[in-house]
Amino acid sequence: MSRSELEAAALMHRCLDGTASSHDIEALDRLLRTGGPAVGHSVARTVRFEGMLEEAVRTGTSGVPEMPELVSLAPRPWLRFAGGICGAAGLCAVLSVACFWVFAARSPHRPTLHVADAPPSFRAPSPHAVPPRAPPRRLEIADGSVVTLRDGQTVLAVESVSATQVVVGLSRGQAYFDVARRPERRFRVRAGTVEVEVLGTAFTVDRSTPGAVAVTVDRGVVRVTSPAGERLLRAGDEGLFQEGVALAAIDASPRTPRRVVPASPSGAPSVPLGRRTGAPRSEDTAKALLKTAVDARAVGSPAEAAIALRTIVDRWPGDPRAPYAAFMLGRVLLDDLNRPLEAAQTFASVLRLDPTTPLAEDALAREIEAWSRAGRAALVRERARSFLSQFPNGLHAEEIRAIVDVR
Amino acid sequence: MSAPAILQGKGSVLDRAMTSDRHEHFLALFLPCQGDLRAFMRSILWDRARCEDVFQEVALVLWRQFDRYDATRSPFGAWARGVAANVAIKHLQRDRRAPMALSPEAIEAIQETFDDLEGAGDTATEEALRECMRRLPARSQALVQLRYRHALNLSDIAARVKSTPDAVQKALTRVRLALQACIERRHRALRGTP
Repeated sequence: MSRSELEAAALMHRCLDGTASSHDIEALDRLLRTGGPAVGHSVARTVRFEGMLEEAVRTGTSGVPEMPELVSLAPRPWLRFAGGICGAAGLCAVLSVACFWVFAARSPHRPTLHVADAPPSFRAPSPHAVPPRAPPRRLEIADGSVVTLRDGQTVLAVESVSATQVVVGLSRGQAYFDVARRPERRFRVRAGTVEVEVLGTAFTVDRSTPGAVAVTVDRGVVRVTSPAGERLLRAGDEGLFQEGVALAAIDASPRTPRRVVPASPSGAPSVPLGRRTGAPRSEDTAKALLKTAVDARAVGSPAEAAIALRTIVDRWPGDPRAPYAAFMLGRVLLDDLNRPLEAAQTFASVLRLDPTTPLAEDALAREIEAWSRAGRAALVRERARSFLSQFPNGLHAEEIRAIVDVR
Repeated sequence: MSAPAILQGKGSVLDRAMTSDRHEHFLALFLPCQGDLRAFMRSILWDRARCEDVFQEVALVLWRQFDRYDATRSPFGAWARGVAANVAIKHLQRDRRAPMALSPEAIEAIQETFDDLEGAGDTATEEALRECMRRLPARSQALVQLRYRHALNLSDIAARVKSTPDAVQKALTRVRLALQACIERRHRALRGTP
């Protein structure tokens, strides 16, 4: 590499690191303008490499362990003591009677847990994710399993512990379970009417959304039982379960081809779609669901597309893809499923999700079309006037004006 | 009363504007090139969070203007980068908090480079990167985690590792160079060249 190429790469790194001075920026600018294609290539390579590095680390596919050497979580003395007692007593006969720990939101004994110690499922939130109100907290069960509560809002109770069975109840929030492999005992997590049973694995149960339970498996296999039936989730899978209905299993892997399968045995709609890589993040799952919706629609399964899109809109309304997902959902409802009323409401939600979206004009035009097909003349007129006041010179203004004139 | 026919059914103006194949076609073109598009935008906007925000905006503008894309005139990636450059420049002009930016001529030079390199990324490089990262010393791995997973700035990293931002930057530069050299070595080994 020539000196100017190396210099350009170093300057671009400073820009990316946020440490470039105005002198640096001027120098980079000058190099790019006068240094020829080789300098441009050097800059492009630098930025591409940076992107690749970020992606590998962020998605957890880098193979680099989380925060080696810098962070070590020292178990708190009382936990160590409790662990010792339990070990000596032979797998927690004591705990089965005495240890009913409810981790309420305002616990005065909040363990200090470094963010880097949180399990993968809690890391790398999307920029739109709501930050936790308190640091994650960790509970060590004497059989060697570890439960990490996402924040102070999470309410969890160890209901029973014995040599053959551990039962934990999750009433609210999200918890990550790293379950020690002990084939002789069952480990069960109850989240309302949904129950997750494992032998040895690591997974997250999320009850943050009212009426829904999300189960994400990082390692091993879990069996999820809900009123809708029974379902096996393997490492990399995420399942969404409503109190009574299995909504979908999500694949966030961008590389695994999606497959659309028939409804679950219970008759509830179900889209198990394979594996994800790395930790589940809203951006990953929203992106994967969007792709799922496109695939499902392409193979003539608009209902499944609608489920995937509805999940994005409901679960991640702050995700930047949500307005587009809502718009697409409106189209599926109107064009494929002939449900104009729902479609109109969904198109209307696009603007609520993002009032400044570039889809605003199209969404409003489609909303008017949907109200029209639903026979809601008054709403058609009202929304048409609103459209003309907002987009008097818009792409659809002429057609909308015709409605107002006709009526 | 029903709406005029122009708003209803197949063949209506709205229906034509929203043909059901349009977005599938768009996604088929957009998804493969989004990595490169992100990288291109990073080279203009630098800050990761800002870049991600503007990227979403760009994606929507591209979709909105997809009817204007002419495949006979340029590859989709080149067209997308043109649109992205305009959106990014406007964003920089709007955002007074944004740091001093490159000139339009310099941005154009980067754009042309990306057009030349389109599709140059490959799985082998990603694989090599992963392997090389596993071989980094623990302290370097920790720096990489702090910088890329936790998106900490250099000052925060310095505070965490009890160092100075300048030293952290130098250390990160060494890590990047080491990784690039390692990747290159692995490529050479795969090709069987010394």
